[in-house]
Amino acid sequence: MDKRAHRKLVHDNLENKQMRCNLSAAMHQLQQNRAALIAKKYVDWQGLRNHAKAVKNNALMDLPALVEMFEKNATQNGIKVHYASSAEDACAIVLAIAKEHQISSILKGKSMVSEEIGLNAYLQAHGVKAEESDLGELILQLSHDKPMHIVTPAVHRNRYEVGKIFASTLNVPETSDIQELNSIARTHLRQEFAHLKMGLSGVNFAIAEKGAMWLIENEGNGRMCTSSPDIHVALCGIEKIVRCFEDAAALIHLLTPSATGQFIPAYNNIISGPRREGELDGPREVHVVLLDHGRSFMLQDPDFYQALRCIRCGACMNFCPVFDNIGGHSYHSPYPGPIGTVVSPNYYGLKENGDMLTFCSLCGRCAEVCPEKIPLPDLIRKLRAKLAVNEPNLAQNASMKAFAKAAQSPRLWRFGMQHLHSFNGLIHAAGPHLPVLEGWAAYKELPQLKTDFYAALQQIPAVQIED
Amino acid sequence: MSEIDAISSRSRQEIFARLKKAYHIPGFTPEKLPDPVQYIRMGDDLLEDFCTNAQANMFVLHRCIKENLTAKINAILKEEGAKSLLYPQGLSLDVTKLEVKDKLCYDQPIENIRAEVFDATAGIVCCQCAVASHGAVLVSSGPQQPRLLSLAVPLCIMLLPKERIVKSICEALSQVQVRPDGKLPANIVFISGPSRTSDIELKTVYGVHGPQQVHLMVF
Repeated sequence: MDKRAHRKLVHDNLENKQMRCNLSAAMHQLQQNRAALIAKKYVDWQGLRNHAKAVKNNALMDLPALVEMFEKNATQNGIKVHYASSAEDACAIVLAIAKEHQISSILKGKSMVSEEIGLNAYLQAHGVKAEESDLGELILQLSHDKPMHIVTPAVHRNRYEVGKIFASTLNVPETSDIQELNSIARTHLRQEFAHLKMGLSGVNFAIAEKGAMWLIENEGNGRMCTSSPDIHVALCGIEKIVRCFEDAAALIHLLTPSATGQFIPAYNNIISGPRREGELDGPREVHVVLLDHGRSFMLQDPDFYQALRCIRCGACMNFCPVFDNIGGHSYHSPYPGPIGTVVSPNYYGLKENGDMLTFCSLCGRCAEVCPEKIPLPDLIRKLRAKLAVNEPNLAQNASMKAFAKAAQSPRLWRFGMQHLHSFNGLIHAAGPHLPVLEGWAAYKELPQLKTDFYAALQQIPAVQIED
Repeated sequence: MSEIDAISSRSRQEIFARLKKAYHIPGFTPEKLPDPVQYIRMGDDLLEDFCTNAQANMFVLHRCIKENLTAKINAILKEEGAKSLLYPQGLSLDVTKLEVKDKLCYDQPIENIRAEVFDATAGIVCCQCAVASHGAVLVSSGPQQPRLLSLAVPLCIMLLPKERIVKSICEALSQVQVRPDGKLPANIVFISGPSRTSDIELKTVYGVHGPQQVHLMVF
């Protein structure tokens, strides 16, 4: 997305009062839910965060072996394991599985990876209809909208808006009753679940030692997509692999609590193979597509490997003071908020997603709440440094160089402090048109510089001046 | 070679080539980690902990003795107006004593009885064990425990002998792994109450694509 269009997108969202109001209320609610649950149910939340960080570091430091172990054990369990180096590869594999079985319509449980690789659009372009079954995702699909947030995708829509969307797309009377809206979605999908041929899901954790996949959800749509159809296809980023059940269980102890303040999701669904001999239901085929798409490059980096610890809880965006003002769409990536700002440029390239790096105010709240202790602000700063090398801003560089020079020379610094006020008129006249200053002047009044700052500084009793 | 295999084997090579160059934290040795249940606030009675947590998860809890089980279930079926009941093979209850209009044993492949399974109003599920720390029950798939039994029916009645309550998720998982053939059940589910969603305005409503009500009989 070019810079000008992106700037306009952010400004439009900032002016969308309904969206900001819905989003802000929701984010504050999620913050409170999390705090209340931690206070009530945990004796050592910080200890649990350290534990969770160790689980993922243990896995990442041994990832090549664990990927192989998962492949071997899953295959032994009867799961078909496929690898996808790129987003395109993953889409092509899912399409080929559908085509092989003459399937023209699939149902999806919530999967961020499918958003990441643009699966719906790809399948549609190749004649396969992919329908969302998660309520939030369904609302978005029916209104041609995009996820606002990785955990609560339709959080920017209130009940009245959802009522209108359902009335205009599902041929039902308009209602704003949440219970009724839920039952409309239930009825709409019920028959599709009953006659489902192919279901698609994400994966929360893949267990290397067991060759099993661990999925969490609340609605039952995920279990429907994985147990009702003939074929289940799971999409799994390679960084989701952990060593053992105990490791996955530890992450369960803090995933939904961090996300929404829910102690445990309604369903922890652990799949280790297709329907076994003598079983009466369950898919005949289970596939898993292990996706790389930039992850292995991140793992090579002494800083960015840390972002692979992410368990996609969304706490960083729930607490981000920028996110709830500009909204998830402003990031122009399936992954918004602080973690999105780190992973999107890594998945799609700095050129494509570098713009979002300017959103963060480096306040540090995200790192404080991240259950995996990912140093998000540090990683954002490091990406900014990369961007500054790739796309140098000459005016900015020149002014920072001049500043650095003055800051290192007492003589120059003193001269600047003594004489800055002489340029007050000039700065106010030219400031709004000068690079660097114009950004400031667009939103704030430039300060009046009317004193000799050096003289004023000498008047402050506690200040010692050394040359 | 099929198209899928071609993409997959090329991708596999590319991915492992990149993984070979993975960063390694200098001097890193993997940490040995305890059962994470130690971070959770718990009392000293597993049964009480389980019941409190299960109720918080919106299970409708019934504590009773084994002899009263049938009567209790009949009361629930009557109160909820259940018309049809889906039950598993090998159920340890006398099915003839259950008072409901239609009874259907889930004893055939789903392909033969899809409509009946999706139309049934109530179902009975046997729990393999339960987790005190989180108020969740564990159900594992098998010939006598089809997956859709705990999912397709709006009214789910779950049976849990109280001696099967264990402390933690990890303990429950280690129990399922004790099988003669060393294989895991193809599907293990921890269930923590009725299905629900908070996708509209974060308001929680119960009964989405899974059961709306889950009655848990602890005996």
